[in-house]
Amino acid sequence: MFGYVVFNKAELKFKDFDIYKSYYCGLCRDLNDMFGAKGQITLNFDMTFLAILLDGLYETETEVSECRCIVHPLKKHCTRRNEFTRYAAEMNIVLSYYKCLDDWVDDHNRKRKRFAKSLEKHADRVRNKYPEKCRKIEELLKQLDELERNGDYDLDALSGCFGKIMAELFCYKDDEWKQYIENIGFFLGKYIYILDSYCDYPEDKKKGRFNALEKFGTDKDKIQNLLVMMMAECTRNYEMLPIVENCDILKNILYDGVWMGFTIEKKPVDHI
Amino acid sequence: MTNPYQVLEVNPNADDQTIKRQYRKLIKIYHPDNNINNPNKAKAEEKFKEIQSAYELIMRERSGDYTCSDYRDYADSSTSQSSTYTNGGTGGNYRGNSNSGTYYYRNTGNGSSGNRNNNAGNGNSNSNNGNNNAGNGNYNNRNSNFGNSGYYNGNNNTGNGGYYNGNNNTGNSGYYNGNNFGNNGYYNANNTGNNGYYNGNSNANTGYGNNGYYNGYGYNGGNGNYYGNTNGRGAGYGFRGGNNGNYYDTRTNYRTVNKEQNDDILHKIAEMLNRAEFQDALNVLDAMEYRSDVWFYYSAIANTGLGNNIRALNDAQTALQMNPNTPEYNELVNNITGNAMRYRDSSTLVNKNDSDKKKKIGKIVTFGSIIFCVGSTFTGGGCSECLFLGGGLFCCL
Repeated sequence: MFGYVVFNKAELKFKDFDIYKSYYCGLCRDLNDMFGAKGQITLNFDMTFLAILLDGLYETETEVSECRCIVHPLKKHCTRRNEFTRYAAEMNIVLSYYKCLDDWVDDHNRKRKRFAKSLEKHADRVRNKYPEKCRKIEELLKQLDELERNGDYDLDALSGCFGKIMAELFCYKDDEWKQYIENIGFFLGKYIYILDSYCDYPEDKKKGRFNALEKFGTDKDKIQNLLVMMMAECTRNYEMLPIVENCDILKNILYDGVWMGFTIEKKPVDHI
Repeated sequence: MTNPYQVLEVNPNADDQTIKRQYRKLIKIYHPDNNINNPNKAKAEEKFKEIQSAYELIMRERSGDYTCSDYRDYADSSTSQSSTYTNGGTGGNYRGNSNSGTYYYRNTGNGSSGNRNNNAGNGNSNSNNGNNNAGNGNYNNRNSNFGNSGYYNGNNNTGNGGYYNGNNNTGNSGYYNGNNFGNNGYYNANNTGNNGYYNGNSNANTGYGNNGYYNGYGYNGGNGNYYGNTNGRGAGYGFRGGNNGNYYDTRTNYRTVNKEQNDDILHKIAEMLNRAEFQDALNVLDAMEYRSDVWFYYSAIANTGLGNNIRALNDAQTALQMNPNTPEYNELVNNITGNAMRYRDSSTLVNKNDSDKKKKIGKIVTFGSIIFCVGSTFTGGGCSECLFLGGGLFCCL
C-alpha cells in the first residue's frame, strides 16, 4: 500500500527535485539515528511527503547538512532534518510494523513476520510515545480486517477505514490546522486504498483473495472518477493551508505524482 | 466582522499565494508567542484571532466548500421559509457528537467571526461561536457553554477541560465527549459515569458506569454495546424504545405509516444535521423505510459530514433525479462534481490519453552520475546499483 504518494519527475524542477531528495535523505538519517539500520529500510516516499507537508505548514527550524552513506559512498548528499522528519520517522516505524504484521496475517509471508519482530522494540517505543494514536490505528486495522473478512464491499467504509489510519498518522498536533491536515490524510488514504485495490485486482482474483472492487468493478474510467473525487477533497483541504514554501513539490505530488501508479497500472515494489 | 480582505490588508483580487504570504507575515507579528513583553498584548491577541478568522473565511469561500447556514427543513412543505433552527454553527467538529466521529469539517451558520446571540466574555479567537456562550476560551464553542477551556466544545458544556466535548457535558476531563457526565474516558457520547472507551449513546438507561469498549450507538434508550449488552429500558430518544442498540439489531425497524410521522422524523434529522450529529442522523435515516427526495438529500449531507463522499454523491444525485428543480440539491451535487472538475483542470496526468501521459511521465532520467529509478519503483525491477530493491532509493553510479 506504500509508494503511491510519489512525484512526477518530468514535471518537477531540478531545484525542487534536490529539495525533495534532501528531505528524503534527512528522513533516512533520522530513521537510522532513531531506529538503526532496520528502521532505515522502512524509508518510503509517503512519509517523506508528510514531512514536507508539515514543514511547509509550520516552517520549523531545519538542520541542513550533508552526509555520505552506504548507498551514496562517493558523493555527499544534502539532508534536511527537523521535528517533522523525526515525526515522519516515528510514523514510518508504526506503519511498517503494522503493515508487516498485516502481510503475515494475509499471506503468511514469513519474511514480513520476521521483519515485524525485529521492529517490535522500536514500535513499542513509538507506541509509548503516542499511545492514543497507536491504539486508534490498531483498532482501525482490526475494523478494516473485519470488514474485509465479512465480505463488505462498501467502498466508503473500507477505504474510509484506511483513510482514518492515514488521518491519525498525519495529525501532528491539535491546533487550528488539525482538521485540514487530518482531512488531507483521510482522503489521501481513501485514494491509496482504492488505487491499491485496483492494482491488486488481477492477482487477488487469481488467488481468490478479497478485493474491495469486486462489486464495483474495474472499469478504468469509473475508477478514475472515484480516485479524482478523493484527490479533489484531499486537495480542497490542502489549498486551505497557508503553505508558501515547497508548494511546487507538494502540488506536483498531489495533482500529478499520485497518478503514476494508476497510469502505469503497476503496483510499486515493496521494500523488503 | 469587517471585510476580511481589509483585515488581511490585501486586495480582493489577490491570488491565493499572495493571501497566504500576507497571512503568514501578519500572523508572525501578532502571534501571542511574539508579544509576550508587549504592553498591548491583549490587543495583539485579538488582532491575531481576527487575522486567523479572516484567512479561513476567505479561503473557504474561494475553495467553494459546501457551507450552508441551516439545513432547510423540507419535511413540511407548507412552511417553506428557511429553517427555524438558528443554531450557533457546527464549528467544524472533527468528531461530532457521535460515536464514530465526523471526518469532514463543516462550519455552518456563522459566516464570519460568528458570535451569535447572547455571547458574553468569550475569549474565543475564532468563528462559529454559538448562542449563549459565556467564559469560553477557545474555538468553536457552541451553545450554552460555561467555563470551558477546551476546544470544540458543543452545547451546554460545563467545566470541561477536554476536547471536542459535545452536548451537555459536565466535569469531563476526557476527549471527544458527547453528552457526557463525569467521564474520564475517551470518545464517550451521551454517557454517564463511564470510564471506558468509545462508549456510545446510552441515554436513559440504567447502564451507567459502563466500563466496556465500543458501546455503540444506543439510540434505543439502551446501552448500545458493540458486543450486545443487555441493558436497555427504552426511555431514550424513543425511536426504538428499549432495544439494546446493537449495531445489527433490527428488531425494531422504524416504520412510517403516514406523512406526518415521516415529516416529524425529518424535522429531527434536520436538527441533528445542524448540530453536525452526522452519524446519529444517518442511523435514524437508515432505519426509515419511506425514502423521499428529502431523505436522500439529508443522507447526502450526513454522509458528506462523515467523509463518505461516494455515497454522498449517489444520494445527492438521487435526490436531484427525484426532484430536478430543487436548487439546493443542485448545489450539493455541484459542490462535489465542481470540485472534481477543479482538480482535473489542475492535473496534467488525469484525463489525458495514454500517449500524452507517457510523454508526461518520462523515463528513467540519467542526470550526471545520479539515477533516480522512477522505473524501478514501478516496473518491478531493481536498479542494480540499489542495495535495497525498489523502494525508490536514490542511487548513484
